[in-house]
Amino acid sequence: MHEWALAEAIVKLIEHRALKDGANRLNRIEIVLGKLQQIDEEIFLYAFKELLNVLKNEKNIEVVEYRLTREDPEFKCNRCGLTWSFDTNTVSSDELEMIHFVPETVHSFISCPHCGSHDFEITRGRGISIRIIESAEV
Amino acid sequence: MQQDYRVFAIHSRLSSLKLVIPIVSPKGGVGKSTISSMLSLALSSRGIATGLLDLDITNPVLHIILGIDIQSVKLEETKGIRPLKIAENLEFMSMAFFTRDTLLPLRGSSIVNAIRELLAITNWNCLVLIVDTPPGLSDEVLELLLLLHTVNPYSTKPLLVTSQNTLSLISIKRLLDLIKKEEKIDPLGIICNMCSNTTPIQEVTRTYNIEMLGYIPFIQNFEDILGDVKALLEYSKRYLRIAVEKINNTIKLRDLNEDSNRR
Repeated sequence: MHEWALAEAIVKLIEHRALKDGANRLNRIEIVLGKLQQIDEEIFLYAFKELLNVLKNEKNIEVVEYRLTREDPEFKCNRCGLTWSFDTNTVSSDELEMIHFVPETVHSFISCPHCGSHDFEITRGRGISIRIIESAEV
Repeated sequence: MQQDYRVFAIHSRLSSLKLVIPIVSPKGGVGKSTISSMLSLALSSRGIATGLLDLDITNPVLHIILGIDIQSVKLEETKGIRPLKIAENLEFMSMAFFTRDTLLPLRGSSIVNAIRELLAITNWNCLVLIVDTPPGLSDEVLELLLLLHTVNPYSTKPLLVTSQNTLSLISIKRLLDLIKKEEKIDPLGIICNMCSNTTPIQEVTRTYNIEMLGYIPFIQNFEDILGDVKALLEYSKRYLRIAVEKINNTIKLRDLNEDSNRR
């Protein structure tokens, strides 16, 4: 259900952008799936396509092309500067589920493998981001 | 151009609320969490569908005041995440559910991300939302006001909390000075907590023309009633009667305005 809610919000953003630009075609959209949030890609894509169809049929707004890219998570320690990637084996399945809902909770569950600090940044691969590259065909 | 899709989700999640009441104070230790809990209990016992959100992202404590055992809670997934129903007419959400009751050390931009994620997934079913905020005027409060502004600024009415001590009163005057320039922030009123002398706060309410919604004395056995919802409700009925009436009337007034706008 979370994937449906995410897809719904993204399609609302697309609709908003199209209306704002006075366009009914968005030529290129890029969706980045940060792997920290562990979005179920199959469910998300199914929901996204379904909702794009609804958008086209009900609002006459069409997305011509969209591209999905995946990004591995990367952390950087603010204390010692170490950069490291996420190893799902370092957290429990319950903690993984919490990270799925709110990726920032990873700060509660892991710390820097070098100095032990919890003061680190998620530098890549956090969650979903969307980039509308080209719009505006009226 | 990159945009945040979560703002759209938050907009649809919050747009059905009639009233959002952030409980605010620039000074810590004045009893915001206690008053948030007591007020929510009082409103729900009055039959008003109430939500309670703990916006202290890094160190939430409302669940402790309300006697909720986080470890035993499994939140229901229905079109997002349903808040925990803790009484008839009362639902509750906190970051503690997602951190398994541990500290969450975060810097500013991550706090904003965590708030947006939490509000984007929470599927409220209430009419009035009480939001307990951490002290100060930093990321949590500013982000909440920003998001609420995009939904409906007129449904947001902060409730200010102070104690009678000098530092707390100076802090609340600073806040009132700051928000008087913001035309769309209209406080619900002010509550003085741990109050044995009403003169200083009455002076503040006169000077700033803000409504006094309650005086709560220092509760000697507060530690003993932590987690005791029945006892908290008793205190609420005794000391928060005016605040509950004010909120009830505000909702009725909004209903009337909406009705007349529809006609």
